[in-house]
Amino acid sequence: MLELRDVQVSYGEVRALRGISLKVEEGQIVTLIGANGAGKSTTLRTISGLLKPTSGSIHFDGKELNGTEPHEITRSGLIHVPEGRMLLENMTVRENLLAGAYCRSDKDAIQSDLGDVETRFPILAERNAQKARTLSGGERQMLAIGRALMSRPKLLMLDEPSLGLAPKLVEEMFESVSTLKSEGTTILLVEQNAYGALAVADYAYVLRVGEVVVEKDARSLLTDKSLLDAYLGEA
Amino acid sequence: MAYWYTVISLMCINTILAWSVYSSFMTGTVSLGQAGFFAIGAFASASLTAIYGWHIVPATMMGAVAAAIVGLAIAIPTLRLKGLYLTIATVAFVEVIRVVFHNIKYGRDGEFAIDASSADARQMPWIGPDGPLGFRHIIYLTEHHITPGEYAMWLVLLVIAFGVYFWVLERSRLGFAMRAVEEDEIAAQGVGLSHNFLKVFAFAIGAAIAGVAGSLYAHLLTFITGDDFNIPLTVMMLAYVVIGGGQTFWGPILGALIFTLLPEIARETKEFRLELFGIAMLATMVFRQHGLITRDMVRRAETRIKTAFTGRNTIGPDEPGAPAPNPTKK
Repeated sequence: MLELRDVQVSYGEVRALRGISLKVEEGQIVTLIGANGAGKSTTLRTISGLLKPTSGSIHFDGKELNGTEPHEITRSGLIHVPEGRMLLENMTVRENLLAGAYCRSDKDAIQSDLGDVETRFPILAERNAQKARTLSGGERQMLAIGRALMSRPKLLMLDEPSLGLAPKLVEEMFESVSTLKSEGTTILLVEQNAYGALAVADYAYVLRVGEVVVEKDARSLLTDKSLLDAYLGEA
Repeated sequence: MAYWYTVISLMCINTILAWSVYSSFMTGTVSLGQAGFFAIGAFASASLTAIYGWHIVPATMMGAVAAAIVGLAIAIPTLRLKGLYLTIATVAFVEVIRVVFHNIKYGRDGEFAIDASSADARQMPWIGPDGPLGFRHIIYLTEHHITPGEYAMWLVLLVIAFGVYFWVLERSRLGFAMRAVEEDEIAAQGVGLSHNFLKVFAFAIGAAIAGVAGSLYAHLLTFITGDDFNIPLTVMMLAYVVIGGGQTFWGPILGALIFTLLPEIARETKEFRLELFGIAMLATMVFRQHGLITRDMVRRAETRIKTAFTGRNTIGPDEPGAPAPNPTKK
């Protein structure tokens, strides 16, 4: 469904990605894990078109994405939930959710999806007239995911969904991610919380300073303590 | 009375100018280039009526089109600039336009006031922009016997028409998309909106609106020079929006009205006029950072009007005017 071949990205002189190749199959959760500065977020930003690769190719749904504008990539069903959530701060929760469905014209389905999202995250229904900037960290994350779901993503890219959440909420977050998968959404998950991510993922790539150093079935990576320690540090 | 008709006409023109700034303001673009588009509209339409004898309505439309085309040409390269840099680029544009109209000369010789062969024959001066001397004798209104009162009435109607445009725009999907771009460009792209398209579109519409105002202004004053369209003027237009409130189209109206009326009323204070002006601006910025009229105020007023008409309280959780259950200050 999504394939990166030898993608390189530079921030000026600094080479942030030194040739990343990865694959996400339909219906899977694939996770990118690694320490700070390994290039995880850069990879997602490149896929969603916010950064232009200096070389390599990205294919999504059979089409090459090189040079496609970010909003066109979004319209093709590849939805990025960036770190820091990127909400429309001064708009209400309801407006944020409807913004997610901006490019759809099927009014009835939008209403029923809105209902689904609000059943999934009841707090969003409760807070629907509140401005996004007044929400707590966990609520913001739910809103960001809810908004992404409103656009009926083919592939959902989540950047650090557990970042800054209370431990109990982290657990709930990973549960919602695996529920989404069981309902058929394909997910590319970037996490620093390697154990949480590996527990829900099917396949994992370990990144280190802009390169894929290990790629493996998530479950076998989870049991391979020595490997994880080597690349992620003592956890 | 003619004095007040002129003041009313100027209030209308300034309101339209304030909206021309507001148009791109809706997408988060602060344009200081509106004086340039104002000048283009003024010179283009005055040329058409004075030199070529066009009717004022198509001439005004052409003025708007000319301003919009230049607006597009400016917007496409400069909207890639962010924030302050874009503002600086638009200021430079005003200066370029001012210098161009300061130096340009085209047009035709004026007709003879009386039969050319008679002894009293006086030739009217040059018709068309005449370099630093400016564009004189834009006499469409007197030629067609349009009184100041009639002109003021047409301008009021035009203001209402533009008001309807903005009222509809703010409630439309397009207006929602513009607000989303204003909030956060990256988040807007994240829901599939082309921020570049929306910004360029809003900027070009703003330029066209300034062009319309330019035409109205040129015909009201009958005399324009390139130096009228200077940077203080462009700053003043931005002040209408900032002071009046840039969150809804109501704010710019109030800003334009205050800033047109206040100097007229305060004429008595003579040289203290500008000082009073500065104090008023400072006070607004200290006490009302979002301008005199904010979005929340408009929503509350709308809800109250709705309630008054239907006779019941419509405030519910779905109503945007409803108080947030747990509001926290930014």
